[in-house]
Amino acid sequence: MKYIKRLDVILILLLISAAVLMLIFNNIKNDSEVNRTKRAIVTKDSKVIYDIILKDIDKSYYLELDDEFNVSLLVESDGVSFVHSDCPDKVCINTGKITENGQSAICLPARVSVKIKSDKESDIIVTG
Amino acid sequence: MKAKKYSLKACLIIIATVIIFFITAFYFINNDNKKSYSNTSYAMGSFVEQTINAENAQEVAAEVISAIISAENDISTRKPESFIAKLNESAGKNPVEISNEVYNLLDFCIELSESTNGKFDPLILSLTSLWDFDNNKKIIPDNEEISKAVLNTDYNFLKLDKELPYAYIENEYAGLDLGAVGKGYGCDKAIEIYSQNNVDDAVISVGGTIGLYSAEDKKEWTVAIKDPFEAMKGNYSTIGNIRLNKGYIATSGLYEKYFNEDDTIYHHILDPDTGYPVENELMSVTVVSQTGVLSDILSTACFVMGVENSKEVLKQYNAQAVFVLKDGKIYITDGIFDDFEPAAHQYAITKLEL
Repeated sequence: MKYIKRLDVILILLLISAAVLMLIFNNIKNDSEVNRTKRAIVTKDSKVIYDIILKDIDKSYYLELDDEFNVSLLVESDGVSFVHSDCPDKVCINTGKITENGQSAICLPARVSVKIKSDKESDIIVTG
Repeated sequence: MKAKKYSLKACLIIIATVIIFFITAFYFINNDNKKSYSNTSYAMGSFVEQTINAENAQEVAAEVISAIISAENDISTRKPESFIAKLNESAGKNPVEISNEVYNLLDFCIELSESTNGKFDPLILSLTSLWDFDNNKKIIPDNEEISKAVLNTDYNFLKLDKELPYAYIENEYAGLDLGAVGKGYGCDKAIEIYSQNNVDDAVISVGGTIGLYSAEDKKEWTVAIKDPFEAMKGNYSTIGNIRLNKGYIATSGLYEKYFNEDDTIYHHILDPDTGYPVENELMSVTVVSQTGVLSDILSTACFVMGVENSKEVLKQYNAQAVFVLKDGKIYITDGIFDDFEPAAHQYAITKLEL
């Protein structure tokens, strides 16, 4: 009888600690890691062609799209920028490096867009 | 004794289970937001982005895009079959039958031209085609040509008749250019469709002009305003966020299309009275109002008019604005002053009483 009681106590303690651990873990995840998981979403002609998790990038690299405008993007762990496009206006290159949730850079003639998205963070829409 | 112990045990087990249940539920509720559907597309000469929260979000998004494309086919100067292109083609010759929607749009444009003393002028084609910022001409036109184009830029040349309806441009050298209207018009079309399709909430951006929709005004959106100083330097950052649960937001800034010559910046926002790019204290103007067309027009008109002269028309149309000045000051009208959160501290923010 005593033995069973002890098991029960252990079971209850386990359940409570599991609950508390999950709570803590969930909070930590919300506060830091998940929020910082920034993704760069690259679209061409309205279709997502790359979905890149930026924090996984050890070494910056150039993403050559091999399209009719020879668009080239520089992908870095903290953001993405257009480095080349054969478009006439170069608005995409002049946009600079996008780094924060909701920011986007667009090459209208080439129909290429890059947008930074953070999981779990509310969407920010940029005007201008 | 025994029973008491069991009930305590049961209590603890129930408490632990409830805690776990709530955490799990909380986790799922959080994830529920992820059902929103995002879509990018191209229409109205712009990049179009939508995020829609609805059961049939994908269908709604497609419907919106086709509505914007059809609006573009109605009003774009680049589409030879559009009402606007036909009107321009028939300028000084004959009236053209137009749709009720285009009639209403043109009628509203004329109203705004009158309210802004012609600082917004939809009959600006002779000037915009001369500077041709859309095709990156990057050449300062001849002074004499500009003077001529200014004479042909006057909304009074447009005659509207509601009966048929039809429109007529009296001067053969004048023409309509709704470049300052189209993006907002696209946003209006989108919100109309969201409201008819059981959408919980949705946001659309047509080339940086934004429309917000929320079925019961429950959702709060964060709209960030691009930093015009950094944009000029080729960097991307924002001056701050406005929290809104509905409305339409449009921005006009001199950083959008411009070129440099002899240390002077020639940008795409033209003063209809001088024919030259506006030269005043402003870097950018963001307007928040209750229709897309109104926000779009007011952002351009307020840029041309400057801070002081914009107050009256903003008040008249119950619109709010954020002015970013060349000296680093930011003026925010009283109606949205408390909803603005600055992103950086280098700018001096002042409340503007309307």
